Amino acid sequence: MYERPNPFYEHFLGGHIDMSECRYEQYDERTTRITGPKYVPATELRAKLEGAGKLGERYVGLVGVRDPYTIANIDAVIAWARQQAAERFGTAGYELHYTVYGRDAVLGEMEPLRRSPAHELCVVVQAIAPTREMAEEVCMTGTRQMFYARLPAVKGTAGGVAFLLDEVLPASPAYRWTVNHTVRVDDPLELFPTFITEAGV
Amino acid sequence: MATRPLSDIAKTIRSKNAGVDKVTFDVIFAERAHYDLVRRSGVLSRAAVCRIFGISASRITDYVEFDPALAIKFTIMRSLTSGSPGDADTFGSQQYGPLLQIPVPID
Repeated sequence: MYERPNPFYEHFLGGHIDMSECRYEQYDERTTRITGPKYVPATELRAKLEGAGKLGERYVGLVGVRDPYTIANIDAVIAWARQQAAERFGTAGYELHYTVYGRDAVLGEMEPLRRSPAHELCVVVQAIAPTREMAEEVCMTGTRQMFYARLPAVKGTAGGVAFLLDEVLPASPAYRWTVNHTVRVDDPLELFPTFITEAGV
Repeated sequence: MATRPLSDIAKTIRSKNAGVDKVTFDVIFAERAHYDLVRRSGVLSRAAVCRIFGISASRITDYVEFDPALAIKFTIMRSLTSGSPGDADTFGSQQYGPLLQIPVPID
């Protein structure tokens, strides 16, 4: 069942194993005997195809927030920084992502506690653009402008956020899954050529 | 009604990727009585899972009570594929957090 959507079915090229009627018996202290799996042939041969595509170069910024009003209005601060980036770079041709640790970074919209954020937040800013230079500039804008965001009720006037570093950091290029499909084949081995060679040992 | 948190009753509560676009959750019990108690209580039913995570029923692709392992297992579609920019849990390994404190009626 580990890392599988369903423990009863294992799909592969040529069919699947149906394990819904399996019996599991203790054979000895360290061994389980499993009987009853059924091989179910597929009507056509399909190979799994997975692939990812490069989105662009990436820089990362780190932003700390301790002001309670700013924390309560962090989405408005992020929107303000996005707007500054849009005014300078337009609204297309790059990506800006804001991940709010201390609120809902790990679960996103599935976080039941996202309405009660912690007393301090870390916002991770990711900028993705065609070149490293542009990614760095977009990231610097998307990060730095959170510092300058002005909310009406903030008491502090000398900077709305806290910077761990007064810079943004180069990261690995960004990729996204682009293919997660099956492809029909006539011969089960046609995508998997095999050959024998001398290892020379 | 007396309750105990699910984390007191289950042996293992975990989440992990199942392919590039799904996360699967395993709640595994050491004792048959605990497995039966939790599945009969409905605190981990499809509807309960939707309530806990605020998702629609169509996001759940698989839901299985797996007797041989004394496990309740369900799988949901990710909102972002694994590792996409903005996804902050590349391996799906911390999505189980909200399950730990689920109160299980023990009467």
